[in-house]
Amino acid sequence: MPAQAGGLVVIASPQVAADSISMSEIAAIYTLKKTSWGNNIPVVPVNREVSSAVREKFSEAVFNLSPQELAEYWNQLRFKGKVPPLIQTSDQAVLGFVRSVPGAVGYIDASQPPSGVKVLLRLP
Amino acid sequence: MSQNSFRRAIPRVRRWHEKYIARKLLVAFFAVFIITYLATALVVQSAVRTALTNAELDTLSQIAHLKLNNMVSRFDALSVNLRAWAKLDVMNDLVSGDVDKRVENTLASLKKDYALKGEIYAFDAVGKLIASSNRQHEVSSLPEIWKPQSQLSFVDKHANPFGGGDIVALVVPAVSTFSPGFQLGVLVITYPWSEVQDILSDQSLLLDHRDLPAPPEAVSGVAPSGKSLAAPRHDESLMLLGSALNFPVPAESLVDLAHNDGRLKIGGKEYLVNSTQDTSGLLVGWQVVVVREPDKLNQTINSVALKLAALCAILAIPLTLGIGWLSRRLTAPLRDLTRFVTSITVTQDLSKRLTLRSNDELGVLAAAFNQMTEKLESSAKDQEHLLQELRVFTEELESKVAERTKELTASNFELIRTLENLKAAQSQLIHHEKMASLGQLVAGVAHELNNPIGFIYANFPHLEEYVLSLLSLLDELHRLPLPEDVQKQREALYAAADLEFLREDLLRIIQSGKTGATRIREIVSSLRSFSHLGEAEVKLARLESGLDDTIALLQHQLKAANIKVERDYQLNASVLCRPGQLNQVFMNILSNGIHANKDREQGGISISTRREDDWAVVRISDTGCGMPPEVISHIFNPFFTTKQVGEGTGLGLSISHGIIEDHGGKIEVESEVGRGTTFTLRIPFKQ
Repeated sequence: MPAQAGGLVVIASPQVAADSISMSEIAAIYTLKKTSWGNNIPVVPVNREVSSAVREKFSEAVFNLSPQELAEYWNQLRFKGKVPPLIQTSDQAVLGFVRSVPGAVGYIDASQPPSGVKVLLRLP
Repeated sequence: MSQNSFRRAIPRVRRWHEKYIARKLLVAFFAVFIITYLATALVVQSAVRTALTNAELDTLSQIAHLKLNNMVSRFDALSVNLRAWAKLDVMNDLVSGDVDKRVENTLASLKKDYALKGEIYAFDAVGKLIASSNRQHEVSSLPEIWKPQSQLSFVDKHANPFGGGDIVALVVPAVSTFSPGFQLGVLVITYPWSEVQDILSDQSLLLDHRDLPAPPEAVSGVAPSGKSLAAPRHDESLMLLGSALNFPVPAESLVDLAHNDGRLKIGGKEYLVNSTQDTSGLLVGWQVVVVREPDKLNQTINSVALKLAALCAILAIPLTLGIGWLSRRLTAPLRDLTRFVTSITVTQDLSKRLTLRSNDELGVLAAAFNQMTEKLESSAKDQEHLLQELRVFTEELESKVAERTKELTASNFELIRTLENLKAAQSQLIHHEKMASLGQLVAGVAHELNNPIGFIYANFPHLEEYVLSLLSLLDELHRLPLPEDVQKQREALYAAADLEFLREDLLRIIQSGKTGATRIREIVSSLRSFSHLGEAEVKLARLESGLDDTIALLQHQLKAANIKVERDYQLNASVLCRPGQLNQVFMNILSNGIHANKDREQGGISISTRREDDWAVVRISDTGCGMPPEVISHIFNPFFTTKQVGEGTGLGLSISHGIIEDHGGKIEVESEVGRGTTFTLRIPFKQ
């Protein structure tokens, strides 16, 4: 598990046209309200496992909610036929996924070098 | 049974059953039974055979279905699982190269949890092997054969690219959950062929109808008997995927097996075959063929046939007995009838009656027969009666005919006699006429002779007296004394004249002349009496004198014929008769006697007269030639003669007969050829 001191970096696949993203956009993505980047590129949000500190940080930073509360929200969405954000269990995996999947959006610890991906936002 | 003994048996059976209807019925019923039973048995047997075969084929079909379904369900389940597994979230890690080994762990745990027989391989979108449940592998990229064709593809039997025998494989593309159409990679699950073979188990073949020819490497690893076949009738190629049979299947039989069911010949031996083919789903083209040896089925069919035969035998015994009993019972009245008819025919006894208790046709027949025998009997009686009558009539007729014949004969005889009488009468008439004219002639002659002979006769006593007077005168003259010389002269004259002789002879001549004159007178008298037969007077006369007269008349003929006449006169009584007529009779008989002695040197006629009771009997016998009986019967007929024409009139005996009958007497004749003839004349003393 990497150090907790650093902030988070929101990354996206290189195919994503935008170079930055606002907090509200991130929230819309992770609440599955924003599903497309335009140009037929879907938004594929990647999450971390519930127990990960990074996800906790992300939840607090973006939604000011605990991961459990978010999970409940996603579970409700699941019943509405929507697919909650994918889970990757490591920063490397998130990086690898985002790098390979067009339109993928994820977050990793800021200490990790975001190679091959676009950094859209840095969170403290 | 050989052909010959069978041929010999047929006439024996025919001979056996020919004699009795009951046997014929028995044979017929038995034949019907046998034919019916055989037909039924054949139908049953064939139905059983068909049913058993169909049942067996159904069973085989079910087995094939079970096996194929087993495979299909296995692969279906596997494919469902694989599809689900391909949709697991963890498969998203294929994108990231499974850095967290989550995929690999998942695969391992899946293999473990599902007790998978094969392995699971996960390849990423570019064909790189990301994870697998098999840790020992040399290949790292997706083999060509596993390239996904569609959502889910089934890779037929092939050699495992990762080594280790034949496998089949299911290939499914792993698609992302987040973005439809995003290819995560390929998930491959392998299934060892040995497992399929296990499902196939025994008595089965697994065939594959492939639309495309299989790649050579796919064929190379197939079971030893397996071989790709290009069936000429089908576009598809047929391939033997696996065989669980304990004998090799020739390649040429495969097409047969694939397209036919029922009883098929494989390598010269018959098998029961049925199959099922997967027409949709994963295992399209797979065909499970179940092959079973029909021994058990045939055994069952044979046992059914045996049981049918046994049943036939079991049925035949009571049925034969029953039919025999029934046919005997049915034909018993017929037999009675036959026996009855035969007995009637043999004994000719029509009084017998047949008693039949049955009311059927035979009963009617018996009744009719009884009626017939009754009629026959009555008609026979009638016939006998008629015959009797006929016999009586015949006898009557015969007797009548005999009677009539007798009458006819009698009348004929009468007629003949009448004719003879008529002839006799005629001849008598003629004779009478003749005699009448002759009589007139004779009477005339006799009358003319009578006077001169009367003179002669009447003068003879005077002549005798005168002669005696002359002689006495001569004696007195002689006694007169005369001179010697005169004496001597007279003596010389006496001597010259032979006076003594003259004296004696003169008297004798006178006596003879007197007799002759008397004879002439008698002859004339006879002639007169002959010519006046009826007028002859009846007087007492000695028959002997008549006989002597007649002999005297015939003296010349008797001498000429040198016939000695012996007389034996013992009658010595006068008989009241017409002597002239009797003399004529004697004349006739004696003439005939002389005639009969004509050719003899020394003949003899004996005449005897007897008195027998009131009859004067004269027998005149000659020792002449005699007469045969046929002549005797005719001698009294008028104009019957044995003499030369002109010698006799044929009237003599006839007239004699008439004369004797006129006297109320009888004339009998006995004659023997060569010994002589005796005429017996009987004349009654009292008339």
